[in-house]
Amino acid sequence: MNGVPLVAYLLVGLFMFTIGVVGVVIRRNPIVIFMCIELMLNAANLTFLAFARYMPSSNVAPTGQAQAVMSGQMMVIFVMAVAAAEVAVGLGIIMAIYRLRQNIDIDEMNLLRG
Amino acid sequence: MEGNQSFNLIWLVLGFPLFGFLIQSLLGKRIEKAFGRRVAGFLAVIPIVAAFGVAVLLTKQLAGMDATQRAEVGVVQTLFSWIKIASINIPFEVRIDTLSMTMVLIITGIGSLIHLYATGYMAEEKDYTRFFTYLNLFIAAMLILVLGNNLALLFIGWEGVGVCSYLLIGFWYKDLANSRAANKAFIVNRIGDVGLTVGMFLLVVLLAGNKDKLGIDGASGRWLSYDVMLPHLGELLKGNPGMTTAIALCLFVGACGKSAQFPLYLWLPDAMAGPTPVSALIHAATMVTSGIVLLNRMNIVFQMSPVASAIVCIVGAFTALFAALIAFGQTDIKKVLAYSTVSQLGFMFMACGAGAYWVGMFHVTTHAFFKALLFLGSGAVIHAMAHNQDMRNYGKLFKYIPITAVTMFIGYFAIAGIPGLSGFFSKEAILGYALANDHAQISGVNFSYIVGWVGLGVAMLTAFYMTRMTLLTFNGKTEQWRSIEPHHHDEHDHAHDDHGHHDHAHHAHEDHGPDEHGFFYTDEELAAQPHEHEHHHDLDKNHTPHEVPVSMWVPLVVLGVLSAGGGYVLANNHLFEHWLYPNGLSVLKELEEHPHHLPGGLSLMAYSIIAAGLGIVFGAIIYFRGLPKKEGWDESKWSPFRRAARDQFGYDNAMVSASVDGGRDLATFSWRGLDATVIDGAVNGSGWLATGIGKVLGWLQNGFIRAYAAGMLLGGVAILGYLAYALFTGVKK
Amino acid sequence: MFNFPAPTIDWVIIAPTMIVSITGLLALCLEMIWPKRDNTWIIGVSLVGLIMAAVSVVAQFSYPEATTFSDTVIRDRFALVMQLLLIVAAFCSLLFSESYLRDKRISYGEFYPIILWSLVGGMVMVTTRNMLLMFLGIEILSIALYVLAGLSRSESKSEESALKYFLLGSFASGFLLYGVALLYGATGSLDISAIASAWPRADLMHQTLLVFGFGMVFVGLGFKSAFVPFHQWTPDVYQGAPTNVSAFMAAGSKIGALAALWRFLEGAEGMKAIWMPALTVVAILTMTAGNLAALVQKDAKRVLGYSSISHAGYILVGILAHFAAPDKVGFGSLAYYLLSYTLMTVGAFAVVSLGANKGKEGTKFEELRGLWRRSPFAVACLIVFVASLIGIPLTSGFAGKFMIFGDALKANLTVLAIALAINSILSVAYYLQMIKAMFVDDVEGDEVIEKRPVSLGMTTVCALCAGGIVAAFIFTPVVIEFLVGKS
Repeated sequence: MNGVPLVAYLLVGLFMFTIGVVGVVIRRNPIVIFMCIELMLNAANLTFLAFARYMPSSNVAPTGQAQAVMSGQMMVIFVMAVAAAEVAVGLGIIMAIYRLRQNIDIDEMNLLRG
Repeated sequence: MEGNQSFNLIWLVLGFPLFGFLIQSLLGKRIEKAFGRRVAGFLAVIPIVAAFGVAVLLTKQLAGMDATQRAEVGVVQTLFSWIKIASINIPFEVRIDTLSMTMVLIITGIGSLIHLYATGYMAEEKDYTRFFTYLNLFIAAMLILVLGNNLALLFIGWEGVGVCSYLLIGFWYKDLANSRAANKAFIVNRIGDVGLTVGMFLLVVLLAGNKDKLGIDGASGRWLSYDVMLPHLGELLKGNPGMTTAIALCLFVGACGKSAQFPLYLWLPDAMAGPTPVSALIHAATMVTSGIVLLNRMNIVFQMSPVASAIVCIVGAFTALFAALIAFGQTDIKKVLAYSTVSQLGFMFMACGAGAYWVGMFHVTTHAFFKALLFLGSGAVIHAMAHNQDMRNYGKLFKYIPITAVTMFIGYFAIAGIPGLSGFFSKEAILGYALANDHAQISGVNFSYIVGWVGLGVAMLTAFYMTRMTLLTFNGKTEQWRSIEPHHHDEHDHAHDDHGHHDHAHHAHEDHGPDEHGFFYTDEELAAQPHEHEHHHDLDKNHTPHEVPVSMWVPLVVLGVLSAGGGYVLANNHLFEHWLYPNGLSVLKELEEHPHHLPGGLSLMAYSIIAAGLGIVFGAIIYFRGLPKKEGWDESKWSPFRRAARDQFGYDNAMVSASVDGGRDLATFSWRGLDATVIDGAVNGSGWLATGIGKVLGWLQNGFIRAYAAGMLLGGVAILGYLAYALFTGVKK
Repeated sequence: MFNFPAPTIDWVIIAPTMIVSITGLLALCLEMIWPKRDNTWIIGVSLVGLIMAAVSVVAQFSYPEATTFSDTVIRDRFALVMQLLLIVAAFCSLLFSESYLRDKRISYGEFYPIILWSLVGGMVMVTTRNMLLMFLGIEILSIALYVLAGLSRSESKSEESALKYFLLGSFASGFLLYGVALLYGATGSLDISAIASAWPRADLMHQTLLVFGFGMVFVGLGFKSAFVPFHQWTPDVYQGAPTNVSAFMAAGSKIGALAALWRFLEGAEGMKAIWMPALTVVAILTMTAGNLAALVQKDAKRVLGYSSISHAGYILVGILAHFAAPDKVGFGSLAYYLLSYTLMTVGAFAVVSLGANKGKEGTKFEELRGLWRRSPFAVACLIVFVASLIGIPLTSGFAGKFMIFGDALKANLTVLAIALAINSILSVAYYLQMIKAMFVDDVEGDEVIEKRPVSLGMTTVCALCAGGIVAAFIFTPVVIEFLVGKS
């Protein structure tokens, strides 16, 4: 691990985030779009963990190194929980739509516009 | 002073009429339906009587205070913080001092009598509770006007009474003439309000610029409250004579509007279209006096400006004379009283202009007694005469309505200035102060002295035309209405054949005045309107007048007693003067009370008695035997003077043509020339542009999730891009 | 092993949040015990719970500022006031919900616990300076609203709005979260105030992180507050979602997001030279785009959606005025405006919800014609709401706008003040259309409007909101003093 610099993790994170963003914009299937959003969240998670791991002691807030590292890691756990909750709700909504119209292509969904 | 808990009761005085207003407006109809009119009317009278009771208690308490304290400082009660912007703090607060409590007593006292009277007078009208709703609201607004401790609150009350007056004049709104009279009153009052507001703003500007220099209560920001402002105002105005006169004149324009002085008196005679109790309450006893209250309240401004005072004097005297002359040409009993009100208000302004502010208030008080009495009495006559208001149909009424007649005679003697009755004391004080002082000067000419003599002449005229009115109504040889044939519906058409005069009886108010010009309606609209006189029952020869019910004559008797004795009690030992101004005025300390050298070596009292006596004698000679031939129904036989007087010497016509026709031309030009091309073009253009952009935005709003996400992304990238640009190009700090 | 002390907990501070959460649980239990019954008890419990929460908030007004849960939850005047406003928003939305849901034939008892928990999310957002909690608050608020937006399961529009809101909301959360990650990297803390201390001593690398982190968090919060260009979901979702949910969404989630934005900008005040111009442009765009797009709308709920966008713009002006001149402008105008905004928006949505009948809902202008005859009182109240939305005197909308205008001038943001004034005029046109539809236009032909009785809840909410608007105008100084305390 020592050999890998912080910036590499950040770049991977940024790359994942970009893929996620682009995916949201170009894909049509709401499930895939949602997967892309998950990708964005996980990119953020990776960034959190990388920062936590490489937290330099010079850059630490008054609360102390341990807490600084911990808070990043806690954040990741909470984000995972939130993502799970979003999946539950999101899939529920997609299911409801499928039942209603037998089709989940979001490009055919623009009743509300103007 | 805040510790003086018992003055908290003042909120009851304000609250009772408001409460009555709420009851009448929200539940009135139901109460009327469930318990009958009597109960509904009772519920309208009670709050005013209760307010009067509390006001009496408070006045007693105030009387127990030190004389200077109670008149010049008063007690301030704050309800809540109302306007708070920057360094201005205008709380909702009232000032209890001798001036405000005097007015409160008049308003609630006379008000409750008139309410009581109205329960009888309006008993057969539709919309009974609507009437009392307005009446209660009016009392509340008037109380705010006199009690408010700053000009902003005064303005609230000022506009409040304006609105109520409008609603009440137009109470019988189905009759077009009434609606128009209401509109006219409203609009003419607005002109006055412009003056008042400009005056207030000038005052604010003056104060705002100097408050720190003078150290006026900068901390609390209450520098617009009377108790903070007034003591410093004299000092402040001293250095700004031009500004002082400007403020004084602006305030006076406002006062002219409400108190019906010369250029703006137009609305008051037309306001007689409202029910008679309204005429009594609003257009005689209370609302029209608010101009005098304003002058008293802000007297320091007028004391500092002799020029403005002279103008007040001149306008007052001219109005008094002008209105008295017009009164000779009127045949409608209420119109005579209306012009007499205008004339008496002119007297009050003469007093204020001469610097005798307390006398102005004194005349307000006595006038409230006898004019309310006369109006209510005339209402009783009208009531007895099946709502016919033309004096040419009256005559020999004494024996039918004796109580009304006796009380009205008292009122008539009071206004004519018979010694011992209330009007005598106040009128004489006015003339005395005017003749004896020289405050009202313009470049050395003592206008105060001149208007004193004019006033004396008008006093004679007053006695004269009041004699005319009273005798035509109660005396004479014939019962005039006996010559009217009974008709069915089309009174107007048939009347032409045998009794040409009846047309005048009903259209008296349409021969002149606003209608000719179509003040607010075109002729076609007018023609299309059916002439509904809902309140109009026919008067014909089979009619027998009856005395009015108890609820109506009790107020008459009470007011009769007040009109007779009120003046003596208040004038005795300078009671009223010391109550209002125990230490005299702050600037004009050395006012003379009696003129020293009058020509002929006679005292003023002698002159007054002679004037009143002459007036009465002249009147009696001409009118004792009833309607003279040359004042009959055929108005072409009238003397030229009388016809001119009937038409207000052309003034109303001229004003209305100028404003209505001129206004119409101006409006047509601005409509065709400016509005349709330039402004509409710009408005439509920008409207078209806005709608166009809206459509584009709507098109962007195409409903596709991915498009929205892309929009967010682009927006986010743009913001991030700008932030990065700002960071790297060093915009930082 | 490191020492891990359990944090001391001040229960008083979190009492309002706890009360609302527990009320939600109770409501859920009631629904489980008596399923498919009428919801009277559930509503009763919910309303009582909200009142208790409000009392527990107001009771704390006199308490000193404090923090608990290792400084993550704070109590200051701002937090208390915002909680109170959220509770008011939820209370008013709940009042008219039952009759509306029943008219729409979707009166599921789950609605009540879910909206209460959504409220909890909002309350968490406004009581914290910690970005973890802020994120959690946003998600609790949003996830509950995703569910509620799709409450009307048989209606394509409702489902579509739920999906839109869900996907775009999660997308925005992704930005927010990534921004938080960057800020964390730069400061080593999740506390917003750490940004303030980190900025002055940051090198260019850290500054870049901070600025980008700020921008991304702003995207997330801007989405929730419906700022242009993150606003496009708003009209669609408001239109599709059940009207009572739209009401809470418009009021509640906006209060939460704007309060969070306020806290966030407080931390980022040091770099205001960088973000101020960008946010100024956002504010102008938000006001203008919201109003212009509303001009051509034909649906009352969409109009309210766009109007809520432009109001977000007005509020942003107030916020920016504070940060441009922090010592001259406090949060009084913001709190006052939010209060008035809550009352008028919830009230307006409540009246529009009268368009629902027998399982259907028509909110287009032509479908609302003659509503005046059906429910005169409610529509009369609508006049007050619309007057307030326009900003006509005698309503709190006027006083609020006036104060924000004054603040903008005080802070020398003249351009914003002018934009605000112009937009107020623009907005008159489309609000009047709404009034015209309900008052002036009558139904054509022989269609008879039966005068349906209006539920007690609806009457109450109309009276409360309209009375509140007028009272708040008359007693403006009193209200502000109540909100921000004696200065």
